[in-house]
Amino acid sequence: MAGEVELVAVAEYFQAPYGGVTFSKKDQTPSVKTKNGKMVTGQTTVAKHLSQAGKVSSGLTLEDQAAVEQWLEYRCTQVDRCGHNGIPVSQVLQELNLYLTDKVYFVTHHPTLADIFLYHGLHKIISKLTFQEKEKYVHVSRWFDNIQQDTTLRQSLQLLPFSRSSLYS
Amino acid sequence: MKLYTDSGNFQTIKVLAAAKFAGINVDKTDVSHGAHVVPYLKESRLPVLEVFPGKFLFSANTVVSYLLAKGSQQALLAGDEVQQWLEWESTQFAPVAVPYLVSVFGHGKAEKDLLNSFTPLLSHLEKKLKSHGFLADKEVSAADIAVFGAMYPLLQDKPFQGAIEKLTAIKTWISAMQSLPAIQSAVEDVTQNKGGAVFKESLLSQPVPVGPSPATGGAKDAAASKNVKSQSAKPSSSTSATPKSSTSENPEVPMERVPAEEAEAAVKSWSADSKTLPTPVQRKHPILPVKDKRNILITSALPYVNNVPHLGNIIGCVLSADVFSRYCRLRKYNLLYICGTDEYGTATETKALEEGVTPKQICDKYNKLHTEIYEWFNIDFDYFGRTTTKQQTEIAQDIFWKLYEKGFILKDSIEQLHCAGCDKFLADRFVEGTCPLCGFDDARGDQCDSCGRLINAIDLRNPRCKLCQKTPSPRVTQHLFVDLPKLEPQLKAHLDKVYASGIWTSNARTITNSWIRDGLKPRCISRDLKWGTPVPLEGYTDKVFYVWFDAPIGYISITANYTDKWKEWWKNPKQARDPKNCLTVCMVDDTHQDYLVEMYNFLGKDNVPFHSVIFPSCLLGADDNYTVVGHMVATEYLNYEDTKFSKSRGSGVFGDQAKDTGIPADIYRFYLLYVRPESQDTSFSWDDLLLKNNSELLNNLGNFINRALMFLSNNFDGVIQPIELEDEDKQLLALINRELTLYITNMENGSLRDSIRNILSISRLGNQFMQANKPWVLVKGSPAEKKRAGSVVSLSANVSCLLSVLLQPYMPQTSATIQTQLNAPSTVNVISDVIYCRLPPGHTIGKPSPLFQKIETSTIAELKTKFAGKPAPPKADDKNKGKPAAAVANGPVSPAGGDVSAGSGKINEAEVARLTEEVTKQGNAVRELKTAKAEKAVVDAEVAKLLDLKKQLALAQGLDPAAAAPSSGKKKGKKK
Repeated sequence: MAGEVELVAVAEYFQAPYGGVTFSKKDQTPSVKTKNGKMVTGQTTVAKHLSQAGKVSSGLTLEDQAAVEQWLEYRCTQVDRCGHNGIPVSQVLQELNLYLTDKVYFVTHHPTLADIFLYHGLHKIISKLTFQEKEKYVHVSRWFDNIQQDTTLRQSLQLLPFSRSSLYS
Repeated sequence: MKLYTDSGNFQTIKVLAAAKFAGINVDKTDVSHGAHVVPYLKESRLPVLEVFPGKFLFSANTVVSYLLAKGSQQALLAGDEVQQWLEWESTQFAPVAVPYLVSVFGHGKAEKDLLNSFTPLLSHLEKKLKSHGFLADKEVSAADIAVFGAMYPLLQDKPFQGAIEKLTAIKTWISAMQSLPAIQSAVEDVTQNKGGAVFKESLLSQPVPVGPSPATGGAKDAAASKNVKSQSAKPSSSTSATPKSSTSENPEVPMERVPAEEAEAAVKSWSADSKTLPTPVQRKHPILPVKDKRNILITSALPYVNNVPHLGNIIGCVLSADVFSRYCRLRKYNLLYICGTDEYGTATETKALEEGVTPKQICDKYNKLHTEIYEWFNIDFDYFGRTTTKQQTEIAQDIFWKLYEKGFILKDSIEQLHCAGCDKFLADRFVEGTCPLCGFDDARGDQCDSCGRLINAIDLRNPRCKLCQKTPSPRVTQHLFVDLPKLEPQLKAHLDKVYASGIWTSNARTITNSWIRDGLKPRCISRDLKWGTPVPLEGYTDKVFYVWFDAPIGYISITANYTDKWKEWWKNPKQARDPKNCLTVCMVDDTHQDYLVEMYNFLGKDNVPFHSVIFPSCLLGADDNYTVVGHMVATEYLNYEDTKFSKSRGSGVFGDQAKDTGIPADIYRFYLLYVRPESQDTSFSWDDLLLKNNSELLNNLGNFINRALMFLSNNFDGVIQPIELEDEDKQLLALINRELTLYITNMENGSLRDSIRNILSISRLGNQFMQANKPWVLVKGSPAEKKRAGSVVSLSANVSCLLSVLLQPYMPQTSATIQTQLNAPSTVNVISDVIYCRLPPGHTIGKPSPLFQKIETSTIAELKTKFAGKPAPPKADDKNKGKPAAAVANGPVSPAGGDVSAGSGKINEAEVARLTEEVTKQGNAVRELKTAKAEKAVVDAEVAKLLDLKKQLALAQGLDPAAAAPSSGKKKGKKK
């Protein structure tokens, strides 16, 4: 689930004011008040809200916008829910690795909300990988290492080590 | 736009409905149940919209909002509200609805428990619908389409109908939705009016969405860190499943085929007469250059005495040079490997002041320490000396005079920082400040640790005296300079020659070239110090030589301490050489004139300019036929886990601690070389060490050798049987020869890391060979089969013998153990270009025993904790709670409270407030100590505590999740 850290990252990246976000006591789901005074709840919802309130326009085509949304959903339904009770971590990493084979960012040629969200969602998973596994998911590793260099996106998350030379193949 | 879907897929309802609303015609393409459409997804996801060839949308909700946007139905996409419902549907509703649908239509048995899970979801829906009539607004929106689409199949189920019986708003909404033509046509298209059963196959072939796990409910990182412990205790299924495969799969892989000629050639050399096989050369001291042989002088950067070397220092120079020199000896080159401690310089003097002893005492102490460490690591120097000797003074002064006479020494007055408090000029490391080049605020007077560039102390911003912390002021003083610009043409000519002929790692070249490209400047070689080689020139006799002028001269003086015939190594005569004797491309000029001695420098990248620019310039300028560097093998840095080795923080393994870890020196050697930072920085990781030991050494190498020898011992009384080569044996020999060739090439190129892989490949080939032939089956069969079994294991014993030799540079002790177990004669210790039969039939082997020990995760966990260093995150200061921070000022701070409940879970505001206060208090304490000019050690300890507190604060604010990991282990470590 969305930690505050990643919402701050989203706000900073899109140069939006960060504020008014509250987290539910039960499961820490964030909520925020919209312009017309309504509360909306949900991590992608809040993140999207922040990104649209920012000065930086995403400038995406409809197709790219849809792709971003799809990866946000993937983060919430797959990445956040892999591990103990269902989707194997390896499946998620394999899928992302395959997808990123020929890509620098998830959508288009610059970081989007999808990159921010997946980076934050994957951090805990990647931090537990051995160097050998990181090498196995080399495209995920490459993408991750690239994203984490941007301190706006990384915020206070730890910089994870990657080896740039292949040690195991 | 193509829409791929299987028949009866309920998710397709919402997609088709959205298409209708948007007025977009999607090209619906039927695929079979469970069809894989999206190439990068492991599971079938349907429906999928292919927006344009190769671009897929596999989330039904995304497709809905995309289609509506595409059809300019902005009204249906009312911003955040819609988004919120789409998210709710996919993360909350679907994980309940889909499993329920699977139970109802897939298995024909409704699960009542699941039905109960609908209650909170439905009441949430009911509440929203009551106020608006529709989900996001008073009109139909994408949210309604998405949620209704997921709801539709449920409406076909009686128990579910019961569940919504009393929810009037939902029921009104459902009938409103059902009356919409777009919905009607979509439903009809998917269900073909066949009722709920139509969903069955599709439901069973699609992945079931997973709900939020209760364990990750606490979303904040601080809270989530609670789970870290349980996960690291038992490796999660995904991490344990993947790494093992590499070794266990391989025996099944069929061996590669080699051409027949290659195999025959391998057989021919294999069957060579044992009397003609090459034998090793005895090592007799003193080793001197020999004509018509390859004479190699190997130096490894002289370790500085003021500190204990860490694993990164060890792999950086002495260990790398050791592997290479052991290899060279096995190749029968004539070589001399020298090293020693570098003892002069400001760092020694400051260290001596710190410890309250004379510089000489410091040097004696650390020289002994270094010697012991290298002995433990089995670094096989021909001579390990030191720079504080009579010879050093003589040779350094001689080189100085030669340079002086030839006009390469300049005199100049410079401004130097002078500390009024200490009444001395502050050379190099006596002064610290902000780097003028990169702004790093803890740069030393001679070099910046952050950007690695050399700086002049006078250029430092905000300089401060290292001893008294006062601000020094510039004063004019006379100094000597070596005129590098004048020497540049000679240096360039030399470098051009050795670049072409020698092994220069790319970092060595790059650093050297950038120095030359930036233009060489006169370099000051004298210092206002006592501890150093005295400058012999009149008027400068109260000064000593700059450590980087005379440290590389240490190579020469250490050789002179080793043998009085040192000039044979260092005053390099030219000789006509037969190019055949020379493995690397010789630096042959027209007359085939060549130098007798080739010098290899092994060093870390930070030492490159001193060895490739300053030292060669001085030697060339002295014009006394000195041996000048021909090859330079520089390493990058080795990090410790994800941080740096740091003595002050206590993070990382230092040379003197290694032997207390219970892990044998050979394992360290193997691992350090496996991760040797050749082309970029690498990391020492305990987990990785465990993996390498258990997978490569234990399961691959150790397994092969032990299996072969045990079998030979148990079934053939340890006697090598006649080896009759069959076709696949010949293939094996040829494949081994290929690896052997690569091993040699890699070694010659200074790629020490790659050669390890060749060794492991050979033992992998051996394992495959054993696995394919199954001697344990053959031995129970007919006499012919038994004979074959003997042949197979005897060949394997010979491969083991080869492995023992190839392994020797890396793991000398293990190599010796294998040779004892093989009862192999010492004459096998030669690395030839091809594999020979070194253990002939009739040879009796010794007693086999396992070569490697398994390393347990618990051991690694303890070691990780032990070497994690001070600022590890557990709440170290809870025990000092309430006490003024300055009251615990003495000595190194004890790293962990130990009495703190580590799993306190979520951290409350009070804790944050308390820590904030602590940080402020500690910050003031440090400032006070600094103004009061307290002892450095005291200040450092307090600063460390401050940093620790800051880290805890970050943790408490939920900002640093990963830092929580070592906390559980910390306590364990303390108990021991």
